[in-house]
Amino acid sequence: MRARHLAIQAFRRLCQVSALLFVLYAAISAHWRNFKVGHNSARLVGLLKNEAWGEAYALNERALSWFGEPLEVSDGFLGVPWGASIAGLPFTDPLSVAALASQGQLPPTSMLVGALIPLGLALVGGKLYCSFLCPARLVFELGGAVRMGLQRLGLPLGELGIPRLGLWVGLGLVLFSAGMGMGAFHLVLPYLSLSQGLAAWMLTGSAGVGLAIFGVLLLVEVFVAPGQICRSLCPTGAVLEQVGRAAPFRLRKVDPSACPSSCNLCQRVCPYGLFPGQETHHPSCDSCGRCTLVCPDNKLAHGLEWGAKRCSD
Amino acid sequence: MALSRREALASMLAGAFLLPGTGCGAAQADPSRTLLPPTASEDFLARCIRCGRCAEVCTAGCIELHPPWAGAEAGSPFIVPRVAGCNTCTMCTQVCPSGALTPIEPEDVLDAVDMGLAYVDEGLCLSFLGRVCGVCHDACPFPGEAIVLGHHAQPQVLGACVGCGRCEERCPQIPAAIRVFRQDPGSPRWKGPA
Ligand code: SF4
Ligand code: SF4
Ligand code: SF4
Ligand code: SF4
Repeated sequence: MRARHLAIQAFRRLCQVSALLFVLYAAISAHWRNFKVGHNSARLVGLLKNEAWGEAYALNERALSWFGEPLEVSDGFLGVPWGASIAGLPFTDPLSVAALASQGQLPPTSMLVGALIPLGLALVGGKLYCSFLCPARLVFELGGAVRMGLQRLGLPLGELGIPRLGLWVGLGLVLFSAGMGMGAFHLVLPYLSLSQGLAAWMLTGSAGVGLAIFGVLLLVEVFVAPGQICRSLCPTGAVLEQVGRAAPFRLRKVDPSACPSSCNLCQRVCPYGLFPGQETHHPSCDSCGRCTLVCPDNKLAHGLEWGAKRCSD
Repeated sequence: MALSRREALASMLAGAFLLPGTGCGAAQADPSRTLLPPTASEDFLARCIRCGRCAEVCTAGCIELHPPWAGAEAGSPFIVPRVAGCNTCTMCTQVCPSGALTPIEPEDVLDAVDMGLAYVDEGLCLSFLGRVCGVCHDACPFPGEAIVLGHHAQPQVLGACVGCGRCEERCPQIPAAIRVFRQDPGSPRWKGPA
């Protein structure tokens, strides 16, 4: 059982890092394509930039050529998770479709198709996007680790609780888009602004914006309101949570026997302070599975269960 | 979700008011001196979802993205022709997911693209100052159709100009003797409704 929990955590980290690398790679590829169009030669790139870049150019070309004409294949990796093209397939946050529709625009088919993927994932597994793919969540988890370290040192840290307002924030932003005739999510949605900042860094070489957003998210997590941006404010998380209210793949207490009354290990390790041992963790739980690792009796596990979740609110 | 109406309103307002805090309204680049990618729709800022795909795919590397403090334009793409003009490859139009750019093929460029119009400053242009130049004509993707050279290679821009900005990028004069302006009412070189 424990081996399975560890494997899931390893797989989750792999997915998170891959999503982050995708954002960076999609942006770096812009330079690769410019060199491809301008020079089309690893040797030339080596002379212009230096040998390391020339080798990176050749490596990328060889990898892409497994799948077809390198330049064409490369054009299939673009964007940020809010609206990406991954190996040519569209991937769209449902909220971007909502924001466009609220302005009286008909979203193109590719965006609608792209939104089906995250919606389908949510129908099956709830907020798996949040725990397995979201780039901002990686920053928050880093912040959580730093926070834990500081607490060991005995530092008093803020612990602001925020009421769960994600849907209302989303509605507010959609209305704002409708009223002002401009998108607004990219200014507020953490994972979108973070990945845009990172992409801009790779495109232009100036790290300022990306680092600033990274820093703000980290500081909020460490010093102000741990877990609250994800749990209470992020509109994407809130929408996926509603769509996934009956998702069969979920984190549950598989062993029905009562927990010892003194134990709250799972609650202490949960980034949102939920208490899966008491089965009050839905609907906020995003099945990250960190609690499965600490339960000494292996009472918690990912698994299939049909019917609505038992929710604490 | 137990939530009073007051809390709900407050959070919606908070969502909206976070925006001015990020610098709404403070345009960073002079909009009359930047161009939008080819085939940008009229309601471009409303349509564009700020995914950045156009900038990533641009073969000329000419598309830049407005920073978060650029207000309404934050995250949306723009082109500064003096830095890099558009190759008219049409790749950006083909990858745009939202319809902010209308997909076209390279052979449609002359008909479908209207990013702006080039103007020659005869007081600056080397050819008008007696030194035969003509670089802008050679940089143009449609030489002879969008721009022609007269005596001493003096350039003349024709109505077919698509506003790609390659002439402005390559003009050897400093400051550039040929510059591209968007054709909308805010532009200092607006020709009036077509
Ligand atoms: S209850 Fe467990 S799986 Fe759910 S969010 Fe908390 S730690 Fe993650
Ligand atoms: S048409 Fe090609 S060169 Fe011009 S802006 Fe679009 S991608 Fe860049
Ligand atoms: S590809 Fe289209 S939607 Fe995406 S940033 Fe460019 S213009 Fe906007
Ligand atoms: S490139 Fe500049 S200086 Fe040369 S002919 Fe054109 S406008 Fe004049």
